[in-house]
Amino acid sequence: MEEKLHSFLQSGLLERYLVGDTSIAENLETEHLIDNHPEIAEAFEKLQDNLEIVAKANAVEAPLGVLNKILESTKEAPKVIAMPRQKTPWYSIAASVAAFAFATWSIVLYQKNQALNNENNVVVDEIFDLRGDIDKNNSKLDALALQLEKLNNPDSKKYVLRGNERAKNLETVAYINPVERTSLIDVVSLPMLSEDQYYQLRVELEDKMVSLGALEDYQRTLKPIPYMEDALALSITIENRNGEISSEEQEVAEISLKDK
Amino acid sequence: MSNNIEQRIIQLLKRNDQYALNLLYENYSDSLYGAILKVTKNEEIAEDALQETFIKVWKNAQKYDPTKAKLFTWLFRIARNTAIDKLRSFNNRFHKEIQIDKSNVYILPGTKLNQDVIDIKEHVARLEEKYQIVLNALFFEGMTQQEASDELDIPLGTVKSRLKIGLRELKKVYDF
Repeated sequence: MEEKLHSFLQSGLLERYLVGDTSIAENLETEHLIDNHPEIAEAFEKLQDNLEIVAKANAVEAPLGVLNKILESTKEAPKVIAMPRQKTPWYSIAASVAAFAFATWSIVLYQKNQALNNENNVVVDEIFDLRGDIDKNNSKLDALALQLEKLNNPDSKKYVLRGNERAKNLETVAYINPVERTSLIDVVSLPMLSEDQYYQLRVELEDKMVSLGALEDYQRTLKPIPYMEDALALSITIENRNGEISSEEQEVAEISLKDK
Repeated sequence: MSNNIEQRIIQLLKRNDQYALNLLYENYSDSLYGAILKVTKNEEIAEDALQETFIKVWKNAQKYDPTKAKLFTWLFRIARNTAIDKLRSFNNRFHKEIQIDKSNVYILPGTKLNQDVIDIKEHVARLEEKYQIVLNALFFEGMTQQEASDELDIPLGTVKSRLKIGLRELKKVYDF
């Protein structure tokens, strides 16, 4: 061991280690020897002292200003937490614009949708009304067809009641079909009466007059009236609403049904 | 170097106190600059290397282990390596072939000791050049005694004796 240590000291490795001219492996070997062998540690201590002495002996005054440069370089930068102005990325702007455009477009679409819904409701209502009208018109058409059928029926007879001097403008047409036993009346014109008076349609039978009800202005629509078997004549009288019994003078139009 | 100052500097370095740099510069800059200058042979490069040495020391202060080496030894290693790197970099810049740390091409400096270093002027002046050459070869060029013997063409025994005498003379100055 003594010889090995001597050999190490003679190898110059310790001197190279001193000045930092050794490899990592050599460093480890040298440090191991220094740590475990006092004579090596002592030699290294001596070498370090000598190095400092020789360096001092060869000292050259360091240039002026170097210390300031060193201090400037090693000065810690002030820890200012700079709040960098965050530049808004282009895609954020694009996203915002797109979001705004979509929001606007959504509002427009919503409003359009509302308007269309309202219009749709109106159309649905109109369709409903139109269907009602169609049904009504069909009913009217059916009624008219029926009336026309009755009017055009060869068995139907036409009777025109014209007013006398008490109701000159009165004109009413009655269609009576004795085969089908139906009667229709068409009030063409009906002069105005006082409020307490009204026209009454009567049918004359063999021995009595039968009232067929009040005659009103039906706006030129054919009105079915009860069919009376063996009726002799149709007449229209002016009656008082107070219930007074009608008189001959009150008759304003009459037509015999036996003429045809 | 006073052990107290060394301890103080180490403490300041561990605390990242910049005053450590002032003390380091005050106590070691001349020695380190002299060592760097021996490697670079160029004052401009040496100044640059010195500045970088202290910056490295500051940045690596936490890595320093007082149990492995004295403070100056650690400083010297950093300074020497920095000087070598700077010189290599400088030479590379001018496409020059360099072989700076090989003993067979090392140009031994015709050194003239620093005359301005306080209190050592007359002592150093008295130190003969033959001792300075041996000391420089061993401490600055990292030569072994055998390599110095071969390079300087001096017998190994003579190298050893000149080293011993040279150090003894210098020790008188610093009173180690």
